[in-house]
Amino acid sequence: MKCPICKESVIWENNPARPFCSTRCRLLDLDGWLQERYGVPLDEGNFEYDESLEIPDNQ
Amino acid sequence: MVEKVESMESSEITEPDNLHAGISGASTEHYDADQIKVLEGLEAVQKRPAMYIGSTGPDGLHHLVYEVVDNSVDEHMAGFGKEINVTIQLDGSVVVSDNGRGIPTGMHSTQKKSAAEVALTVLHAGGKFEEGAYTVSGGLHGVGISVVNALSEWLELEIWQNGQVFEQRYLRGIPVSALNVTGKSQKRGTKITFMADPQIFETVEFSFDVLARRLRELAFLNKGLAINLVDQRNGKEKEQAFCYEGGIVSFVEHLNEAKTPIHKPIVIETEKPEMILEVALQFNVGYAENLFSFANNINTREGGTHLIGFKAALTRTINSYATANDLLKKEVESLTGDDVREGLTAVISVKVRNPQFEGQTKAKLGNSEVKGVVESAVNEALGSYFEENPAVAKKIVGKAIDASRAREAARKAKDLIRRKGALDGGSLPGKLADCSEKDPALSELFIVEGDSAGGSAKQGRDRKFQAILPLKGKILNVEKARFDKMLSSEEIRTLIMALGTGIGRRREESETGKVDKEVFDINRARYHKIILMTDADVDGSHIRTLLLTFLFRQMHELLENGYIYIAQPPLYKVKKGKSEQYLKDDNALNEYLSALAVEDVEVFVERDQAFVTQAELLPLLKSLIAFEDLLNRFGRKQFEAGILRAFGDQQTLNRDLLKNRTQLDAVIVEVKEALGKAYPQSRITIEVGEDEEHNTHTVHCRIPTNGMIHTLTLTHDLVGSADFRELQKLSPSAMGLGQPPYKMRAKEIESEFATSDELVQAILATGKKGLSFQRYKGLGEMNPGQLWDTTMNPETRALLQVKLEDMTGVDEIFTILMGDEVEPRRNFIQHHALEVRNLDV
Repeated sequence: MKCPICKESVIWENNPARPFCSTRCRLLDLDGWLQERYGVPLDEGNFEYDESLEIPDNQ
Repeated sequence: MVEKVESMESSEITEPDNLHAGISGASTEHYDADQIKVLEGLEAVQKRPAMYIGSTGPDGLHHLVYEVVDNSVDEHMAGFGKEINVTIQLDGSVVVSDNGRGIPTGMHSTQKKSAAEVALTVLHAGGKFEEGAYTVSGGLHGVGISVVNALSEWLELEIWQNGQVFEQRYLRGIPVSALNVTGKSQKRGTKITFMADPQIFETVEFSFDVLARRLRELAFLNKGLAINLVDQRNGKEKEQAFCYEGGIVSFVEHLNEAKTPIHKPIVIETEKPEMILEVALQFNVGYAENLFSFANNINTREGGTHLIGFKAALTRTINSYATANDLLKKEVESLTGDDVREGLTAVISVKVRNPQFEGQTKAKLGNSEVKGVVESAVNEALGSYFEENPAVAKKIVGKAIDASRAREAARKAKDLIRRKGALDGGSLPGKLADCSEKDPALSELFIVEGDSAGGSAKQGRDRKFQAILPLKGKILNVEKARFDKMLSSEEIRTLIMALGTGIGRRREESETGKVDKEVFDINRARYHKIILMTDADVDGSHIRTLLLTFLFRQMHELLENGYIYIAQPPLYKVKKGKSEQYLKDDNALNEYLSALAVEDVEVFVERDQAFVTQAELLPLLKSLIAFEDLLNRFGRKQFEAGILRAFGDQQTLNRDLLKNRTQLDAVIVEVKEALGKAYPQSRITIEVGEDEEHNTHTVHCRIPTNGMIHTLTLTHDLVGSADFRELQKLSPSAMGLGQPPYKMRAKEIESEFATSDELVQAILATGKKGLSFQRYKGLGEMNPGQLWDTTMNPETRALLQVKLEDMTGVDEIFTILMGDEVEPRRNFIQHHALEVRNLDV
């Protein structure tokens, strides 16, 4: 796979920084979490919740 | 019978042994029976094979080949033999041959048999006990050829020596005959053919690629040695030849193949009485550190004294060059080992007389004298290289300074955690409801989304071994029209504290200057089951994606050790009369409803001209439900499901038919008729177009309904896709239902349906009669008792263990979701909304 930070390809074996290519990139990632730079977008229109499979209460 | 022997202590595995004579000063053409010393025998090996070769799985199996090859390599190191051939034969047996001196054939001085037989039947019999040999020993290598013999169903030995050919055969380690002269030959060398014992190994299937990787490594480590690998299985012969005149320099070039190096490889070679050292190193423009270290050809994955010596010398030499030439900037005081190793690819290979291997997998060199020798040799060689190549030296220092600056950014992060004491896990967060159990192996941590669910979980849990940590996502408006869900830094800190492992790196003083030490320690994990429990909605899946990504990136060992799980709360509660049942997901619900429905419903099967019901109807219904699910998935790829349903129901439609206009027209007539029933009010247009690229046709279908226009274009690609073929396999006509309308009978009342979708809905609706449903939208809707029953009770719950291989996918989803590029993200969310939500990792 590719390093999440620098996008270089990552060697898995013998690499304590995995899944990053290097300790540098891993620490930059940790910085990202603690500086709250990572978010997943909540709505971008088409997040339909698939209500079609919803079953109405039969009460 | 095999000789009876005393049982072995595991430490004795590290004792040196081998068949061939010593090298270096002691090397001699005189290599005979007296050099073999006898220590032990074979039954112990067959009883406890894993102790000798690590495992009876694929690793141990391949180890047999390495063991035999190692002997030939040692012979090459002693100065005899330039070529090793390894062949996997048709029957799965392996042949290893060399052109060394051949295993000694004379009579052993104390045992009354040939020295070769002693080597093959007695543990730890080998020339390598002699002084002056650089032996392959310790680790799992060097356990001796006798171990291979003991673990082979049969083994054939052939030796060419002094103009004669000697042969001997063994069955499970027992000689069938004595070592006999069977012919004449001017060749020299040893050939061993063996069949791994299927009674001992879980598999006896050798992998070409696994063998190739190790043999290539050996060829790199032994300059000029030719190793050929041939695979005769699978009908055709596969062959790879490894021979590198450049030795480990070629190795470094190979490792840097896809990278951009900033200089030619630097080579350091030293021969001291006690050891031989070879180093090749090369920096590239990337950031990754890629170090390989070997001791006596064994890959020391856990490093050891040679690696420590190398690292110390590298750090010192680069720092002193930088200081002497005034290259360090104000903000960089000194460069750490990590700084100077960014972008470094290096291979360090040492050969020592009596290697000591330590560590869990015996993959760490322990000889203390090695560190100093390596350190001073590298210091000296690298120092003069820098003086002679100032341009390269400046580039390397510049890289290290950049690295140091990047690290500064991360330092802030570390400080944030450190202030709170989370690094040491000393104090527990207030939000954590801990369990009373102190043994991590028996303790579970539920990470629960939201305070209300957290409250239920706290009441419902078994407080003896279950701890609860409620976490909340935070919503942030990052830019106009984009709201992000994230984990606040406070939540991350809380999580780290609760887990107890610590995180990141800490700078410490040491003898070689300042070093950064890894803080994360899996042994301090407070729970061996860490269970993510989130709502079954988009929000819940977001939190789960965030948590999994964080754990994967920053605490990958938790995943590698299998500590991470996902709770499986039910999606539905169904009540029929007084009985209640929880159902995990829509599939489970459909199955439940199907089972009820087929009791009351009959469906007309055109093929049989009869109504079917109950056990006969059930598989049919299952297939129809799968058909509709698949159509729905197509729908998400923006294919018109309503139209595709009619095409997918045509069994003859394939790529060939699409080319044949006459047959295609016939299919279109049927499709049009089916669509006419599904869309009775609309005017359906179907046109056939040309596809020159594939020399075939395309079919455009257009159906206007109230204000909407449905279209679908049937193409070569679509018709040939695996999904489409699956669709055909599951379709109503494949089930024998024929073309619509479909007939169903329930309680003597017959009804007709224009589409299979309507039919399925009607059948399931019958199943729903008399039931009451509750769909859990969130964990908070369950009371503590229900939460315990369905999700937390180890006796009844289902947990999904998250595997490492699942995680590359999760990280990819995460990367796209949080990416700055709007277009790929939007496409992704549209196409994968379902997967993201159900993230059934």
